[in-house]
Amino acid sequence: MSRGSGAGYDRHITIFSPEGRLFQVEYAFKAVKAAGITSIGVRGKESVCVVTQKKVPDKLLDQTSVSHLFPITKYLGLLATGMTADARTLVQQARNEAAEFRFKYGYEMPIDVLARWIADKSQVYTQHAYMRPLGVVAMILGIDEEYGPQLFKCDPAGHFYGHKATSAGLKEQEAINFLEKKMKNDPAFSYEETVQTAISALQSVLQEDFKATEIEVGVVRKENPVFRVLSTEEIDENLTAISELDI
Amino acid sequence: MGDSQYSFSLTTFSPTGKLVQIEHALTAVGSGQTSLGIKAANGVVIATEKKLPSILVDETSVQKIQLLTPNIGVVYSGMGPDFRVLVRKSRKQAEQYHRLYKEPIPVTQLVRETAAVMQEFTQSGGVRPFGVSLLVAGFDDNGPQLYQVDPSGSYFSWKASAMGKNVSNAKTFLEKRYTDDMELDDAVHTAILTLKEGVLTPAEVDDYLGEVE
Repeated sequence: MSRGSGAGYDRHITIFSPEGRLFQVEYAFKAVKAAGITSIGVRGKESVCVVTQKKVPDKLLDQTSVSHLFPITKYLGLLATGMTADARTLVQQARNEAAEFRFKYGYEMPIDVLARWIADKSQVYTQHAYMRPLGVVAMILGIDEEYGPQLFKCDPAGHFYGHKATSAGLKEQEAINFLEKKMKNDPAFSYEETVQTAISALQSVLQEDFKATEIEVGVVRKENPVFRVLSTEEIDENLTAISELDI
Repeated sequence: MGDSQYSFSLTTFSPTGKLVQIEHALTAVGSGQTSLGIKAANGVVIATEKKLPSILVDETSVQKIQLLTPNIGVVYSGMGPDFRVLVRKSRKQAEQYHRLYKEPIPVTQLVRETAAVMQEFTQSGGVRPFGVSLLVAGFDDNGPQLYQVDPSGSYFSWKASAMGKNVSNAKTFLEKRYTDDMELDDAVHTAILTLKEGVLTPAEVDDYLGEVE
């Protein structure tokens, strides 16, 4: 019986369409792409690295305030791709949750627990009509006590997976194709290789060579499990190393 | 639940008496990855396809088959995030039962409570039905049991069942192969064969068998 969705609201709130799809969730994915930024994350043998574009739309803007890399705790970082305002809400809530966890249970919130918490919150927005899904894909990185370096990606649908490498944003699919080729034989990247693979993946997919001020890089390393944003000088060193290697 | 602005049900009757949102939820289930279950004389087996979106995904971070209690497991077809919610709620219900009665929750009771949650979301204000069907496999004092729970909240006990894509092929195959006095090993073998019929490539079956051995 093709009466349709009832009142045509399946495009406006998260109820099912006749094909069993959630249009609002699909539109949220489009909103992530509409931000025009691409991000990449790579997990190595003893480190994880995330890279994203740093587009400052106006020269009068204070560059230091434009960032998509957020520390959630000292040891966990979050790279948000998509709508900045939604990202800030997510980060605020995640920081609160991680701090409460540390207080309640006496040990640091493990990265997969945080990823699951974010994903479960996103799922609630896909099931309750009163809140729209967030237009953000979150990549979380950290060193787990048991499992070592971890990279998780959480999306507006509430999915979350651990990744060996992944991408989000405008050129997501191209980047994933590039990374699949690089990681095909399960390589065990060193810290330098991890960072350089991530940066060169971004350069290749966007087909441009970056200046150190045009990208943001965040890392965690087993030998120093604190989440750190690389300085412009460190980014420069890596860019030079890449251009010499000609990856 | 939900905001007071949405204190009306989004799942309402059509003029022909159908609950259209539930039908759409079933469509979402039908386009999900295949899963199936078989009840044997001495146990139950549940199995599912595990196709990940890319080789870059760490397959150890994904577990589609989950434990609700030490003797009850569950698998789904449909939307993964919705499944996580149901697993969490069911685990809590099982634990509450155990706290009260100091014994493991019987399979039928856990299935009934989970189904009640799913029904709630077809009637409460401001929410949509769950986009998953569950296959609950358990072993208790009544022996091995297999239940399928649908987005509407209705549940049935099955000797063997399948859900998701290729469901008609899978069920035809199961009907042919099922016998009441099957042993668990046979059932596991049949489950893999059924997935292979419509779903897995021979290489994927060999991979899995290699891992298990």
